Amino acid sequence: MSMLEQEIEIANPQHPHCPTILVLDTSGSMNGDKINALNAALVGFRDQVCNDPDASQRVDLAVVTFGAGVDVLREFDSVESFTPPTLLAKGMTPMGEAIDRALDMVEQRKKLYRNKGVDYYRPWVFLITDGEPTDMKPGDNRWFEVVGRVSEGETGKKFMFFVVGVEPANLGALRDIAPANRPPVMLKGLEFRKLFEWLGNSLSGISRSTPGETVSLASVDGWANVTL
Amino acid sequence: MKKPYIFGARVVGPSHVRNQLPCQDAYCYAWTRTGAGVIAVSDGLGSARWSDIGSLVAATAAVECGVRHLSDPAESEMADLRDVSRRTLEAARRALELRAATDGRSIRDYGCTLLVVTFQSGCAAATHIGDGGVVALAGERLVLVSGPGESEYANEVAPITSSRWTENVRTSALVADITCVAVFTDGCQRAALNRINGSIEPFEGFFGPIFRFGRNVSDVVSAEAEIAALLASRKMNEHNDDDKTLVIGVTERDNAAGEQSGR
Repeated sequence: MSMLEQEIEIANPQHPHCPTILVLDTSGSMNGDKINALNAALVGFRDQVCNDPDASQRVDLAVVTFGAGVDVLREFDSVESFTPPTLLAKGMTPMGEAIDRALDMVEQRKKLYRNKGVDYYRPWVFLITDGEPTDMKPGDNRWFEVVGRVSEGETGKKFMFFVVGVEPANLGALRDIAPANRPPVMLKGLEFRKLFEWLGNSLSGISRSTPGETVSLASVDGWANVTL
Repeated sequence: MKKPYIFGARVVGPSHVRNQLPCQDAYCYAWTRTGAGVIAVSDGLGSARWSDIGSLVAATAAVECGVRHLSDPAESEMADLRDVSRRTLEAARRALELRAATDGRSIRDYGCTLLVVTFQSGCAAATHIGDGGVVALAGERLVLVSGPGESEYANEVAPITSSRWTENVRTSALVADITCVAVFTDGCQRAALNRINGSIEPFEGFFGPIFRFGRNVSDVVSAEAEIAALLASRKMNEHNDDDKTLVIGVTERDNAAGEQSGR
Protein backbone atom coordinates (compact mmCIF):
# COMPACT_ATOMS: atom_id res chain seq x y z
CA MET A 1 0.00 0.00 0.00
CA SER A 2 1.17 3.53 -0.72
CA MET A 3 2.36 5.29 2.43
CA LEU A 4 0.46 8.40 1.40
CA GLU A 5 -2.71 6.36 0.88
CA GLN A 6 -2.71 5.58 4.56
CA GLU A 7 -2.18 9.19 5.56
CA ILE A 8 -4.47 11.19 3.29
CA GLU A 9 -8.17 11.70 3.70
CA ILE A 10 -10.64 12.20 0.89
CA ALA A 11 -12.55 15.49 0.94
CA ASN A 12 -15.59 14.26 -0.94
CA PRO A 13 -15.88 10.48 -0.78
CA GLN A 14 -19.04 10.41 -2.84
CA HIS A 15 -19.96 9.34 -6.29
CA PRO A 16 -21.44 11.98 -8.57
CA HIS A 17 -25.21 11.72 -8.61
CA CYS A 18 -27.60 11.40 -11.54
CA PRO A 19 -31.01 12.77 -10.49
CA THR A 20 -33.80 11.15 -12.49
CA ILE A 21 -37.52 11.81 -12.06
CA LEU A 22 -40.33 9.72 -13.58
CA VAL A 23 -43.54 11.68 -14.20
CA LEU A 24 -46.19 9.00 -14.82
CA ASP A 25 -49.75 9.26 -16.07
CA THR A 26 -52.06 7.24 -13.81
CA SER A 27 -55.31 8.68 -15.15
CA GLY A 28 -58.35 6.46 -15.65
CA SER A 29 -57.53 5.80 -19.32
CA MET A 30 -54.34 3.99 -18.27
CA ASN A 31 -56.41 1.33 -16.51
CA GLY A 32 -55.95 -2.30 -17.53
CA ASP A 33 -53.13 -3.54 -19.76
CA LYS A 34 -51.32 -0.22 -19.87
CA ILE A 35 -50.94 0.28 -16.12
CA ASN A 36 -50.12 -3.43 -15.65
CA ALA A 37 -47.35 -3.22 -18.25
CA LEU A 38 -46.02 -0.02 -16.68
CA ASN A 39 -45.95 -1.62 -13.23
CA ALA A 40 -44.06 -4.66 -14.52
CA ALA A 41 -41.59 -2.44 -16.36
CA LEU A 42 -40.81 -0.46 -13.21
CA VAL A 43 -39.80 -3.69 -11.47
CA GLY A 44 -37.51 -4.61 -14.35
CA PHE A 45 -36.04 -1.11 -14.38
CA ARG A 46 -35.21 -1.26 -10.69
CA ASP A 47 -33.54 -4.66 -11.07
CA GLN A 48 -31.53 -3.56 -14.10
CA VAL A 49 -30.23 -0.33 -12.61
CA CYS A 50 -29.46 -1.89 -9.24
CA ASN A 51 -27.40 -4.58 -10.94
CA ASP A 52 -25.17 -1.93 -12.53
CA PRO A 53 -22.34 -1.15 -10.06
CA ASP A 54 -21.99 2.47 -11.19
CA ALA A 55 -25.63 3.36 -11.82
CA SER A 56 -26.80 1.78 -8.57
CA GLN A 57 -24.57 4.13 -6.59
CA ARG A 58 -25.16 7.20 -8.71
CA VAL A 59 -28.79 7.31 -9.81
CA ASP A 60 -31.12 9.19 -7.48
CA LEU A 61 -34.73 8.43 -8.42
CA ALA A 62 -37.97 10.29 -7.75
CA VAL A 63 -41.50 9.40 -8.92
CA VAL A 64 -44.46 11.73 -9.46
CA THR A 65 -47.82 10.44 -10.68
CA PHE A 66 -50.80 12.36 -12.03
CA GLY A 67 -54.34 11.05 -12.15
CA ALA A 68 -56.66 11.57 -9.23
CA GLY A 69 -54.45 14.47 -8.20
CA VAL A 70 -50.69 14.88 -8.35
CA ASP A 71 -48.81 12.59 -5.98
CA VAL A 72 -45.14 12.55 -5.10
CA LEU A 73 -44.82 8.79 -4.68
CA ARG A 74 -41.15 9.07 -3.99
CA GLU A 75 -38.83 11.97 -3.18
CA PHE A 76 -35.34 11.82 -4.59
CA ASP A 77 -33.35 9.01 -3.03
CA SER A 78 -30.85 6.40 -4.11
CA VAL A 79 -32.26 3.98 -6.66
CA GLU A 80 -30.94 1.19 -4.44
CA SER A 81 -33.77 1.89 -2.00
CA PHE A 82 -36.44 2.02 -4.71
CA THR A 83 -39.39 -0.29 -4.17
CA PRO A 84 -41.48 -0.17 -7.35
CA PRO A 85 -45.06 0.86 -6.48
CA THR A 86 -48.16 -0.86 -7.80
CA LEU A 87 -49.76 2.03 -9.65
CA LEU A 88 -53.53 2.27 -9.88
CA ALA A 89 -55.24 4.18 -12.67
CA LYS A 90 -58.08 6.58 -12.01
CA GLY A 91 -58.98 10.23 -12.38
CA MET A 92 -58.14 12.96 -14.87
CA THR A 93 -54.81 14.14 -16.27
CA PRO A 94 -53.35 17.06 -14.26
CA MET A 95 -50.15 17.00 -16.28
CA GLY A 96 -49.35 20.71 -15.93
CA GLU A 97 -49.26 20.55 -12.15
CA ALA A 98 -47.24 17.34 -12.28
CA ILE A 99 -44.61 18.90 -14.56
CA ASP A 100 -44.35 21.94 -12.31
CA ARG A 101 -43.95 19.76 -9.23
CA ALA A 102 -41.31 17.62 -10.91
CA LEU A 103 -39.26 20.61 -12.04
CA ASP A 104 -39.48 22.12 -8.54
CA MET A 105 -38.15 18.85 -7.13
CA VAL A 106 -35.28 18.86 -9.62
CA GLU A 107 -34.22 22.38 -8.64
CA GLN A 108 -34.43 21.59 -4.95
CA ARG A 109 -32.36 18.45 -5.44
CA LYS A 110 -29.65 20.34 -7.30
CA LYS A 111 -29.57 22.96 -4.56
CA LEU A 112 -29.12 20.21 -1.98
CA TYR A 113 -26.24 18.74 -3.97
CA ARG A 114 -24.56 22.15 -4.21
CA ASN A 115 -24.98 22.81 -0.50
CA LYS A 116 -23.45 19.45 0.36
CA GLY A 117 -20.66 19.70 -2.22
CA VAL A 118 -21.92 16.69 -4.19
CA ASP A 119 -21.11 16.49 -7.90
CA TYR A 120 -24.03 15.71 -10.19
CA TYR A 121 -25.00 15.12 -13.80
CA ARG A 122 -27.70 17.01 -15.67
CA PRO A 123 -31.04 15.75 -14.34
CA TRP A 124 -33.41 13.64 -16.42
CA VAL A 125 -37.16 14.27 -16.43
CA PHE A 126 -39.09 11.42 -18.03
CA LEU A 127 -42.81 12.06 -18.75
CA ILE A 128 -45.06 9.20 -19.86
CA THR A 129 -48.71 9.84 -20.76
CA ASP A 130 -51.54 8.35 -22.80
CA GLY A 131 -53.56 11.53 -23.04
CA GLU A 132 -53.32 15.30 -22.86
CA PRO A 133 -53.40 17.75 -19.96
CA THR A 134 -56.80 18.36 -18.38
CA ASP A 135 -55.53 21.09 -16.05
CA MET A 136 -54.29 23.39 -18.77
CA LYS A 137 -55.17 24.23 -22.35
CA PRO A 138 -53.14 25.78 -25.16
CA GLY A 139 -53.20 29.53 -24.63
CA ASP A 140 -54.08 29.66 -20.94
CA ASN A 141 -51.74 31.00 -18.28
CA ARG A 142 -50.71 27.66 -16.89
CA TRP A 143 -49.99 26.36 -20.38
CA PHE A 144 -47.64 29.25 -21.16
CA GLU A 145 -45.96 28.92 -17.78
CA VAL A 146 -45.38 25.16 -17.96
CA VAL A 147 -44.41 25.01 -21.63
CA GLY A 148 -42.11 27.99 -21.17
CA ARG A 149 -40.52 26.43 -18.13
CA VAL A 150 -39.77 23.20 -19.98
CA SER A 151 -38.38 25.06 -22.98
CA GLU A 152 -36.19 27.43 -20.96
CA GLY A 153 -34.98 24.65 -18.72
CA GLU A 154 -33.91 22.52 -21.64
CA THR A 155 -32.32 25.45 -23.47
CA GLY A 156 -30.58 26.59 -20.30
CA LYS A 157 -29.31 23.06 -19.68
CA LYS A 158 -31.08 22.85 -16.34
CA PHE A 159 -32.34 19.35 -17.17
CA MET A 160 -33.13 16.98 -20.05
CA PHE A 161 -36.86 16.56 -20.63
CA PHE A 162 -38.14 13.45 -22.38
CA VAL A 163 -41.78 12.94 -23.41
CA VAL A 164 -43.17 9.51 -24.26
CA GLY A 165 -46.73 9.22 -25.54
CA VAL A 166 -48.79 6.06 -25.23
CA GLU A 167 -51.72 5.52 -27.59
CA PRO A 168 -54.03 7.40 -27.83
CA ALA A 169 -51.97 10.34 -26.50
CA ASN A 170 -52.58 13.74 -28.11
CA LEU A 171 -49.39 14.02 -30.09
CA GLY A 172 -50.00 17.64 -31.03
CA ALA A 173 -50.24 18.69 -27.39
CA LEU A 174 -47.16 16.68 -26.50
CA ARG A 175 -45.19 18.33 -29.31
CA ASP A 176 -46.04 21.71 -27.83
CA ILE A 177 -45.03 20.63 -24.34
CA ALA A 178 -41.82 18.81 -25.25
CA PRO A 179 -38.63 20.84 -25.86
CA ALA A 180 -38.06 21.76 -29.49
CA ASN A 181 -34.75 19.85 -29.56
CA ARG A 182 -36.31 16.72 -28.06
CA PRO A 183 -39.69 15.99 -29.67
CA PRO A 184 -41.97 13.38 -28.12
CA VAL A 185 -41.85 9.75 -29.14
CA MET A 186 -44.79 7.37 -29.25
CA LEU A 187 -44.50 4.06 -27.49
CA LYS A 188 -44.94 1.04 -29.75
CA GLY A 189 -47.90 -0.80 -28.33
CA LEU A 190 -47.20 -1.67 -24.71
CA GLU A 191 -43.41 -1.84 -24.97
CA PHE A 192 -42.94 -0.34 -21.49
CA ARG A 193 -40.38 -2.98 -20.64
CA LYS A 194 -38.16 -2.03 -23.58
CA LEU A 195 -38.67 1.66 -22.82
CA PHE A 196 -37.38 1.18 -19.29
CA GLU A 197 -34.54 -1.05 -20.47
CA TRP A 198 -33.47 1.82 -22.72
CA LEU A 199 -33.78 4.24 -19.82
CA GLY A 200 -31.72 1.96 -17.58
CA ASN A 201 -29.01 1.58 -20.22
CA SER A 202 -28.96 5.34 -20.81
CA LEU A 203 -28.57 6.07 -17.11
CA SER A 204 -25.78 3.51 -16.90
CA GLY A 205 -23.95 5.34 -19.67
CA ILE A 206 -24.43 8.71 -18.02
CA SER A 207 -23.34 7.35 -14.64
CA ARG A 208 -20.02 6.23 -16.07
CA SER A 209 -19.29 9.36 -18.08
CA THR A 210 -16.39 11.60 -17.19
CA PRO A 211 -15.88 15.30 -17.95
CA GLY A 212 -15.80 15.97 -21.66
CA GLU A 213 -17.20 12.62 -22.59
CA THR A 214 -20.17 12.64 -24.94
CA VAL A 215 -22.68 9.96 -24.05
CA SER A 216 -24.52 8.76 -27.15
CA LEU A 217 -27.98 7.47 -26.34
CA ALA A 218 -29.03 4.25 -28.00
CA SER A 219 -31.69 4.27 -30.67
CA VAL A 220 -35.28 4.20 -29.45
CA ASP A 221 -36.37 2.12 -32.44
CA GLY A 222 -36.95 -0.94 -30.32
CA TRP A 223 -39.74 0.63 -28.34
CA ALA A 224 -40.82 3.89 -29.93
CA ASN A 225 -41.89 5.57 -33.10
CA VAL A 226 -40.00 8.84 -33.45
CA THR A 227 -42.44 11.62 -34.28
CA LEU A 228 -41.84 14.05 -37.10
CA MET B 1 18.61 24.85 2.50
CA LYS B 2 17.04 22.26 0.30
CA LYS B 3 17.41 22.48 -3.43
CA PRO B 4 14.04 23.28 -5.03
CA TYR B 5 12.46 20.41 -6.89
CA ILE B 6 9.34 19.27 -8.73
CA PHE B 7 7.94 15.78 -8.92
CA GLY B 8 4.71 14.21 -10.07
CA ALA B 9 2.91 11.31 -11.68
CA ARG B 10 -0.08 10.42 -13.78
CA VAL B 11 -2.00 7.15 -13.80
CA VAL B 12 -4.66 5.75 -16.09
CA GLY B 13 -8.09 5.59 -14.51
CA PRO B 14 -10.05 2.35 -14.06
CA SER B 15 -12.77 3.63 -16.42
CA HIS B 16 -10.21 4.07 -19.17
CA VAL B 17 -8.87 0.59 -18.57
CA ARG B 18 -12.41 -0.83 -18.81
CA ASN B 19 -13.04 1.07 -22.04
CA GLN B 20 -9.59 0.25 -23.46
CA LEU B 21 -8.63 3.90 -23.65
CA PRO B 22 -5.14 5.28 -23.07
CA CYS B 23 -4.39 7.64 -20.21
CA GLN B 24 -5.48 11.03 -21.53
CA ASP B 25 -3.77 13.09 -18.82
CA ALA B 26 -0.33 14.60 -19.38
CA TYR B 27 2.06 16.80 -17.45
CA CYS B 28 5.33 18.60 -17.97
CA TYR B 29 7.56 20.70 -15.72
CA ALA B 30 10.85 22.54 -15.67
CA TRP B 31 13.07 24.64 -13.43
CA THR B 32 15.21 27.36 -14.96
CA ARG B 33 18.69 28.50 -14.07
CA THR B 34 17.15 31.68 -12.77
CA GLY B 35 15.27 29.70 -10.13
CA ALA B 36 11.84 29.93 -11.75
CA GLY B 37 9.59 26.92 -12.10
CA VAL B 38 6.86 26.02 -14.59
CA ILE B 39 4.36 23.17 -14.19
CA ALA B 40 1.69 22.29 -16.77
CA VAL B 41 -1.00 19.65 -16.31
CA SER B 42 -3.57 18.71 -18.93
CA ASP B 43 -6.58 16.36 -19.10
CA GLY B 44 -7.72 15.07 -22.49
CA LEU B 45 -11.45 14.88 -23.09
CA GLY B 46 -12.95 11.42 -23.25
CA SER B 47 -14.98 12.39 -26.30
CA ALA B 48 -11.98 13.68 -28.29
CA ARG B 49 -10.36 11.03 -30.46
CA TRP B 50 -6.77 12.23 -30.04
CA SER B 51 -6.98 13.93 -26.68
CA ASP B 52 -4.08 11.92 -25.27
CA ILE B 53 -1.93 13.59 -27.91
CA GLY B 54 -3.63 16.94 -27.30
CA SER B 55 -2.89 16.96 -23.59
CA LEU B 56 0.77 16.17 -24.17
CA VAL B 57 1.13 18.81 -26.89
CA ALA B 58 -0.55 21.42 -24.70
CA ALA B 59 1.46 20.69 -21.54
CA THR B 60 4.77 20.56 -23.39
CA ALA B 61 4.19 23.76 -25.34
CA ALA B 62 3.11 25.60 -22.20
CA VAL B 63 6.26 24.67 -20.29
CA GLU B 64 8.52 25.45 -23.21
CA CYS B 65 6.96 28.90 -23.46
CA GLY B 66 7.27 29.50 -19.73
CA VAL B 67 10.91 28.46 -19.70
CA ARG B 68 11.70 30.77 -22.63
CA HIS B 69 10.27 33.75 -20.76
CA LEU B 70 11.81 32.90 -17.41
CA SER B 71 15.28 31.63 -18.40
CA ASP B 72 16.84 34.97 -19.28
CA PRO B 73 18.06 36.52 -16.02
CA ALA B 74 17.20 40.05 -17.10
CA GLU B 75 13.72 39.16 -18.29
CA SER B 76 13.08 36.77 -15.43
CA GLU B 77 13.80 39.34 -12.76
CA MET B 78 11.19 41.68 -14.16
CA ALA B 79 8.77 38.95 -15.18
CA ASP B 80 5.12 39.35 -14.39
CA LEU B 81 4.26 35.76 -13.53
CA ARG B 82 0.62 36.30 -14.37
CA ASP B 83 1.52 37.57 -17.79
CA VAL B 84 3.91 34.68 -18.38
CA SER B 85 1.25 32.18 -17.28
CA ARG B 86 -1.23 33.66 -19.73
CA ARG B 87 1.27 33.44 -22.55
CA THR B 88 1.85 29.77 -21.86
CA LEU B 89 -1.82 29.04 -22.53
CA GLU B 90 -1.72 31.00 -25.75
CA ALA B 91 1.36 29.04 -26.79
CA ALA B 92 -0.42 25.78 -25.99
CA ARG B 93 -3.40 26.78 -28.10
CA ARG B 94 -1.15 27.64 -31.04
CA ALA B 95 0.66 24.33 -30.69
CA LEU B 96 -2.65 22.47 -30.81
CA GLU B 97 -3.77 24.40 -33.88
CA LEU B 98 -0.49 23.57 -35.59
CA ARG B 99 -0.72 19.91 -34.65
CA ALA B 100 -4.29 19.67 -35.93
CA ALA B 101 -3.35 21.36 -39.19
CA THR B 102 -0.31 19.12 -39.63
CA ASP B 103 -2.36 15.99 -38.99
CA GLY B 104 -5.23 17.18 -41.18
CA ARG B 105 -7.72 16.93 -38.31
CA SER B 106 -10.04 19.21 -36.42
CA ILE B 107 -8.57 20.83 -33.31
CA ARG B 108 -11.58 19.44 -31.45
CA ASP B 109 -10.09 15.98 -31.80
CA TYR B 110 -7.35 17.08 -29.41
CA GLY B 111 -9.72 18.48 -26.78
CA CYS B 112 -8.13 18.97 -23.38
CA THR B 113 -8.02 21.16 -20.31
CA LEU B 114 -4.84 22.95 -19.22
CA LEU B 115 -3.46 24.27 -15.94
CA VAL B 116 -0.15 26.16 -15.87
CA VAL B 117 1.65 27.48 -12.81
CA THR B 118 4.72 29.70 -12.92
CA PHE B 119 6.64 30.49 -9.76
CA GLN B 120 9.80 32.18 -8.54
CA SER B 121 11.08 33.97 -5.46
CA GLY B 122 8.28 32.51 -3.39
CA CYS B 123 5.50 33.81 -5.62
CA ALA B 124 3.21 31.91 -7.97
CA ALA B 125 0.52 32.58 -10.55
CA ALA B 126 -1.66 30.19 -12.51
CA THR B 127 -3.59 30.30 -15.76
CA HIS B 128 -6.25 27.69 -16.19
CA ILE B 129 -8.95 26.44 -18.52
CA GLY B 130 -11.24 23.59 -17.55
CA ASP B 131 -11.34 21.62 -14.34
CA GLY B 132 -8.68 20.41 -11.96
CA GLY B 133 -6.91 22.83 -9.63
CA VAL B 134 -3.83 24.48 -8.16
CA VAL B 135 -3.25 24.70 -4.40
CA ALA B 136 -0.30 26.36 -2.68
CA LEU B 137 1.10 26.29 0.83
CA ALA B 138 1.76 29.89 1.90
CA GLY B 139 3.24 29.86 5.36
CA GLU B 140 1.09 27.26 7.05
CA ARG B 141 -2.01 28.26 5.12
CA LEU B 142 -3.50 26.38 2.17
CA VAL B 143 -4.44 28.70 -0.70
CA LEU B 144 -6.64 27.76 -3.64
CA VAL B 145 -4.66 29.45 -6.41
CA SER B 146 -7.03 28.26 -9.12
CA GLY B 147 -10.09 26.05 -8.89
CA PRO B 148 -12.24 24.16 -11.40
CA GLY B 149 -14.15 26.25 -13.91
CA GLU B 150 -17.81 27.08 -13.64
CA SER B 151 -19.30 23.83 -14.88
CA GLU B 152 -22.46 22.72 -13.13
CA TYR B 153 -22.38 19.11 -14.21
CA ALA B 154 -19.94 16.31 -13.42
CA ASN B 155 -19.41 15.38 -17.08
CA GLU B 156 -19.17 18.81 -18.71
CA VAL B 157 -16.03 20.93 -19.08
CA ALA B 158 -14.72 23.81 -21.22
CA PRO B 159 -11.56 22.74 -23.14
CA ILE B 160 -8.77 24.87 -24.62
CA THR B 161 -9.78 23.56 -28.03
CA SER B 162 -13.22 25.21 -27.89
CA SER B 163 -13.86 28.03 -30.37
CA ARG B 164 -14.72 30.24 -27.39
CA TRP B 165 -11.75 29.18 -25.29
CA THR B 166 -10.59 32.71 -24.47
CA GLU B 167 -13.85 33.30 -22.61
CA ASN B 168 -13.10 30.45 -20.23
CA VAL B 169 -9.46 31.20 -19.36
CA ARG B 170 -8.82 32.26 -15.78
CA THR B 171 -5.59 33.80 -14.49
CA SER B 172 -5.11 33.85 -10.75
CA ALA B 173 -3.90 36.63 -8.54
CA LEU B 174 -0.21 36.47 -7.59
CA VAL B 175 0.22 34.38 -4.45
CA ALA B 176 3.20 35.26 -2.26
CA ASP B 177 5.25 33.45 0.40
CA ILE B 178 4.64 30.01 -1.04
CA THR B 179 6.79 27.02 -0.16
CA CYS B 180 4.86 24.33 -2.05
CA VAL B 181 2.40 24.18 -4.91
CA ALA B 182 0.31 21.26 -6.17
CA VAL B 183 -1.29 21.02 -9.60
CA PHE B 184 -3.83 18.28 -10.34
CA THR B 185 -6.42 17.11 -12.85
CA ASP B 186 -10.07 16.54 -12.00
CA GLY B 187 -9.41 12.90 -11.17
CA CYS B 188 -7.99 14.19 -7.88
CA GLN B 189 -10.60 16.89 -7.31
CA ARG B 190 -12.95 14.91 -5.12
CA ALA B 191 -10.06 14.01 -2.86
CA ALA B 192 -8.42 17.42 -2.78
CA LEU B 193 -11.19 20.03 -2.71
CA ASN B 194 -14.11 20.66 -0.43
CA ARG B 195 -17.28 22.16 -1.90
CA ILE B 196 -19.42 23.74 0.77
CA ASN B 197 -22.38 25.98 -0.04
CA GLY B 198 -21.00 26.75 -3.46
CA SER B 199 -17.49 27.70 -2.38
CA ILE B 200 -14.41 25.57 -2.96
CA GLU B 201 -11.59 25.13 -0.47
CA PRO B 202 -8.43 23.03 -0.37
CA PHE B 203 -8.81 20.07 1.97
CA GLU B 204 -6.28 19.89 4.79
CA GLY B 205 -6.80 16.15 5.16
CA PHE B 206 -5.40 15.67 1.66
CA PHE B 207 -2.79 18.41 1.30
CA GLY B 208 -1.39 18.20 4.83
CA PRO B 209 0.21 14.79 4.23
CA ILE B 210 1.03 15.62 0.59
CA PHE B 211 2.97 18.80 1.39
CA ARG B 212 4.67 17.28 4.46
CA PHE B 213 5.84 14.48 2.19
CA GLY B 214 6.86 16.93 -0.49
CA ARG B 215 9.03 19.04 1.81
CA ASN B 216 10.97 15.99 2.96
CA VAL B 217 11.80 14.39 -0.37
CA SER B 218 15.41 13.31 -0.78
CA ASP B 219 15.02 11.35 -4.00
CA VAL B 220 12.72 12.64 -6.76
CA VAL B 221 12.47 9.27 -8.51
CA SER B 222 11.21 7.57 -5.35
CA ALA B 223 8.88 10.48 -4.68
CA GLU B 224 7.32 10.12 -8.11
CA ALA B 225 6.83 6.40 -7.53
CA GLU B 226 5.06 7.17 -4.26
CA ILE B 227 2.75 9.68 -5.95
CA ALA B 228 1.99 7.17 -8.70
CA ALA B 229 1.17 4.53 -6.08
CA LEU B 230 -1.13 6.98 -4.31
CA LEU B 231 -2.96 7.90 -7.50
CA ALA B 232 -3.44 4.22 -8.36
CA SER B 233 -4.59 3.32 -4.85
CA ARG B 234 -7.99 1.97 -3.90
CA LYS B 235 -8.70 5.01 -1.73
CA MET B 236 -8.19 7.45 -4.61
CA ASN B 237 -10.19 5.36 -7.08
CA GLU B 238 -13.13 4.29 -4.96
CA HIS B 239 -15.20 7.32 -5.91
CA ASN B 240 -13.45 8.51 -9.03
CA ASP B 241 -12.38 6.17 -11.80
CA ASP B 242 -10.96 8.84 -14.12
CA ASP B 243 -7.28 9.37 -15.02
CA LYS B 244 -5.32 11.16 -12.28
CA THR B 245 -2.36 13.53 -12.34
CA LEU B 246 -0.68 15.28 -9.41
CA VAL B 247 2.48 17.38 -9.66
CA ILE B 248 4.12 19.08 -6.68
CA GLY B 249 6.66 21.91 -6.70
CA VAL B 250 8.71 22.65 -3.61
CA THR B 251 10.31 26.07 -3.67
CA GLU B 252 12.78 28.15 -1.84
CA ARG B 253 13.74 31.75 -2.09
CA ASP B 254 17.44 31.34 -2.82
CA ASN B 255 18.62 31.21 -6.41
CA ALA B 256 18.48 27.58 -7.55
CA ALA B 257 21.51 26.00 -9.23
CA GLY B 258 21.07 23.97 -12.39
CA GLU B 259 17.95 22.95 -14.28
CA GLN B 260 15.48 20.15 -13.69
CA SER B 261 12.76 19.12 -16.07
CA GLY B 262 10.45 16.21 -16.43
CA ARG B 263 7.31 14.74 -17.84
